Amino acid sequence: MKRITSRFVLLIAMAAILPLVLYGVVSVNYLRNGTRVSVQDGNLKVAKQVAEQVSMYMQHNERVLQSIGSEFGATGLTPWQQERILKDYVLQFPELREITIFNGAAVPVATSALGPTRLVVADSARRRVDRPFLIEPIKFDDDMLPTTTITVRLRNSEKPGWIVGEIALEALWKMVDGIRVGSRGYALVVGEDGRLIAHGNPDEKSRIADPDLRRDTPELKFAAEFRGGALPSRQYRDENGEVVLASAAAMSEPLWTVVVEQPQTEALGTARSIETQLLVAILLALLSTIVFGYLMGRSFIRRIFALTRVTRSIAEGKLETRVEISGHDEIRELGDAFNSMADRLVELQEDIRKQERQVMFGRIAAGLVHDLSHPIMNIGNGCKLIVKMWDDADYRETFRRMFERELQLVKRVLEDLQNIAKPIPLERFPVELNRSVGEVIESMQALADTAGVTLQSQLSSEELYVEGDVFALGRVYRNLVVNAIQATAPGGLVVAAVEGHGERVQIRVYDTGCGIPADRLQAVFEDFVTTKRRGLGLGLAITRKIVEQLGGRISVASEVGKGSTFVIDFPRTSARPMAQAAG
Amino acid sequence: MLMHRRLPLVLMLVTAACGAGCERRAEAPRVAAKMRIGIGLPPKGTPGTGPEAIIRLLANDSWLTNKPDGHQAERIATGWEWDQARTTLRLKLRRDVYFHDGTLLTPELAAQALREAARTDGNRLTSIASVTPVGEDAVDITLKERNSFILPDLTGVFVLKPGDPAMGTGPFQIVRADPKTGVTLLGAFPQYFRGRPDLAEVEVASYPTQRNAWVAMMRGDIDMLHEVSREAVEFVKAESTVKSYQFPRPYYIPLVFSVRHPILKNPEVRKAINEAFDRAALVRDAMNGQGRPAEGPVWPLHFAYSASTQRFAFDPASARRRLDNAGLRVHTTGSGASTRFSFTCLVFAGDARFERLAVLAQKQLADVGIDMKLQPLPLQALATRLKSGDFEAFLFEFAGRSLSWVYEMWRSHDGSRNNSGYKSADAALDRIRGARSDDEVRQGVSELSAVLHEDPPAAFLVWQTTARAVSLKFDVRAEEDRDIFANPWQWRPAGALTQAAR
Repeated sequence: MKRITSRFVLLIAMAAILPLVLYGVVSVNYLRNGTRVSVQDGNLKVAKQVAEQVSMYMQHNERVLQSIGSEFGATGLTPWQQERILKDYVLQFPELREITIFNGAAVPVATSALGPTRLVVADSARRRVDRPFLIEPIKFDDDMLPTTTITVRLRNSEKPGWIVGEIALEALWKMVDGIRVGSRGYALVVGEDGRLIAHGNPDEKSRIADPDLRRDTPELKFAAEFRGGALPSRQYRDENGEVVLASAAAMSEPLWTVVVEQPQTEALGTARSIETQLLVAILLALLSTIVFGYLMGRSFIRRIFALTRVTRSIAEGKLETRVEISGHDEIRELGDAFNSMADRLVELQEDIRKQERQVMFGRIAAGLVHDLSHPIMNIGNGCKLIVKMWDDADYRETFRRMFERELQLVKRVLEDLQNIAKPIPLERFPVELNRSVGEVIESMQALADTAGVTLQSQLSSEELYVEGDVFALGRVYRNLVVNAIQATAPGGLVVAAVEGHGERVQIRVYDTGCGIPADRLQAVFEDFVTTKRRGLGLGLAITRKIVEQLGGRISVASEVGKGSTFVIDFPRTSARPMAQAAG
Repeated sequence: MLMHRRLPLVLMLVTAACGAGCERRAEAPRVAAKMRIGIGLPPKGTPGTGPEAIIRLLANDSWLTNKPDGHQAERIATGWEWDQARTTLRLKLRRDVYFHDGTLLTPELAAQALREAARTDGNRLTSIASVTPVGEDAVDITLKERNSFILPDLTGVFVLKPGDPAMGTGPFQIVRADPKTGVTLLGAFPQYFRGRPDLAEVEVASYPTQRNAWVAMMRGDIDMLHEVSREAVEFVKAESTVKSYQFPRPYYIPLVFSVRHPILKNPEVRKAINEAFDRAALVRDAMNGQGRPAEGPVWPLHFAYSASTQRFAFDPASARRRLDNAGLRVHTTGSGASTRFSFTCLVFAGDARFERLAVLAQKQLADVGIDMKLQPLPLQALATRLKSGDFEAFLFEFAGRSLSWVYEMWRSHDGSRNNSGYKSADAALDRIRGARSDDEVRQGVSELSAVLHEDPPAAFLVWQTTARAVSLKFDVRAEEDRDIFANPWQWRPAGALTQAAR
């Protein structure tokens, strides 16, 4: 039964659980990797867009300065007018903190500043005559905030010079502050020298103003390595120990790098949520499958087990047992068929019993007829003769003896029948077997002679006592010897031997008769079983009953055509008859 | 029986309720903490301004204090009473006020202190004839003439120990001042009459600019930014470790005219200039929205302020007409500029608050054909020029919460810090000064407003909004629309134990 359960579990596992687990593993793996790639691609796009916006921001400032240069070069404005225009520009474009115009000797001509200008024409701009404009590397002003200047070369041949505009990077910050990836993802801008110049996270802005800024922080290292050719996306732990997904994009003018960072927990938050939901769904499906499979299997196997139990019960003889199987399927039909079969089995058994009773009754009747007809006939014949020979005293005596003998025979048949029905009353005293066996053999010599059989006794040289009833034992010996004589053909031999074996004593009765077939050997001690043509078949049954009541055992060995041996085994006793003990 | 069982509980509740109503707090375990305040200074300050003013606020107390509506409230003086003629004012004094050296403020010392203040504190207390101690807790101030400004003036006068002006009664006392680094350390004054402050120390550091001070705050060098520059307000607000407190600052920025100027002396020209200004644009573009348009020198929250005051609307066409009518037509100057007339405006140099405003004002005037030249000056030089009357116009800020300050700035008198030559409002201002009641003050203010509209001494441009920023490590017990410097003794470390009250 364990096998069918195991197979059922295996079936559910293979058919439902395994595919679900495989599906879950593949889905989660795909979801994780796919989302990570998708997030990094998205962040990379954002980084590129921010880089483009910052580039446009710088280009816009550069174009503003170029337009001022064009305006001034074409119209020949006075310094007074130029200053007014410069101030207008500064008011209009807050990202330009100050604009100053320099002549060919790099001397300031007009400025938007209220006082003297703080700006100068950078040496690099003066050297690079081939470039129409130049964005200076980031420097930190008196307030320790990053700033830069854009120098535009005036192309007017009559009045060569430069326009220098100082860019307020706080305006750039506002742009970067507006970039949010999710709720905790920010953009940051790293200058060409690896310094942080803008950070979208308000709480991280302090690092921009830090004069001792470390450049080995994860994001600055990433920006530097990206500039050195590393991949544009990476995962690392930030300064707070949180894992972030970062993507970088490079700007060409100026050589700044934009990094977009997003905490992994947020970036993959949706995926994790879906993953959790998926896992929960798979677990629920698994659980449902297991529960459903268990319930189904339990229903199926339980009915099989019920059938098995009932089958065993019937096999044990409890034919009234029936199986109750619920449902409307083939198992139910099987159960119904089984019950029908059991009903039919009961009917058949009853039929067999009836037949057996009839056979038994026939055998008993035949046995009674056999055992009683002869005495009755003898008595009948005797009665007829005694009328004729009433005056013959000898005959009357002979008739009396014959009458008593035949009545004794009838009485014995009736006693046998009575002994089968209820226990034989026994009285146990120490009995010496040699003597009891010898007396019986001696008394039966006449019967043996009549049958033409040699009857011998082989007694033990020592006295062998057992606890027994001398009369009952005599009946046992007679039954065995009579059966042996009847089974032995004239000229054959019947021997009754007494043997001592330590604490045991055996009486062995064997003959050279026809023997008992092997298939009937075990039944010879049962009631109404006989190998003879006639008779009740109660002799050996009564014999066994007496032997067992006296605490002994009886067995038989036989070979057809060679003879049979009956062995009676008793425990030896040290007790002696009272008279002998007293003497 | 039940009452007896509950007696301790009742006593506890009564004690707690009594304590909550009392002013002085009981001593309790406190967290020793130091707050560092950063002030963005102009390049060169003057006495009484910048860090020094802040230090004086922390180390001193005034006799009275101002309510937001311009009325007065108790401080060192717990009450006041005028005589029938309103020439003698009796101040009722607290009995538990000590100077930082442990000296108890007695009526005699109070009288001496007031007499010294009258002698040294400029024009404000000049109307005091005598001060007399009265009993154990009062002084009588006798005035030379009726002066309703004496009460608001007393809100600006610190209680200083006679003979030792460095000895105040404020919640903190100066421990050490380093002129080289500009850092001043103040310690909590244990005998402060409102209870020992929760902060053990306050350190005041000055920085060259407001922007520089903001950077110091970003770096974590300071815990409080005295004034957040207009450009940085958005960034500071966004920070999660700092809280910013915005409040309307009772300082207005006028473009003040010298009526000695040959053209500006014409009221029509000054009216035209007033009409040429788009004040809303000034607030929006030059102040980053951190202010509100001004129509006069009277604080809009003052009880005497009237919203129905006549005001100058932005009307460049009207301005041009007025100028045309005044004979000021556009012409081309030798420098090639097309203008109606020129004048020079002095501007406080190096202070971003004024620079952008001045440039935008210049542009707006240029739009009606007026050439306003800007001349930046350091604070000291600017103050000297204003006092001497050596200017055609100037752009600066004036205090405006108290009418006495309005009087101080716009009433012509010797030694005025605004020597513009303007006298038209003198009579109206004198009437306010001599007012006997709030109604008379309101009437005087109404009259003043009419005069300032008909003969404007200046173009009143904007009232300012100021923001201060404080690290979340500290709780400054802020009240809405009130300067957090109004209650420095209540500042404490965030999360400090709430003090049990007596």
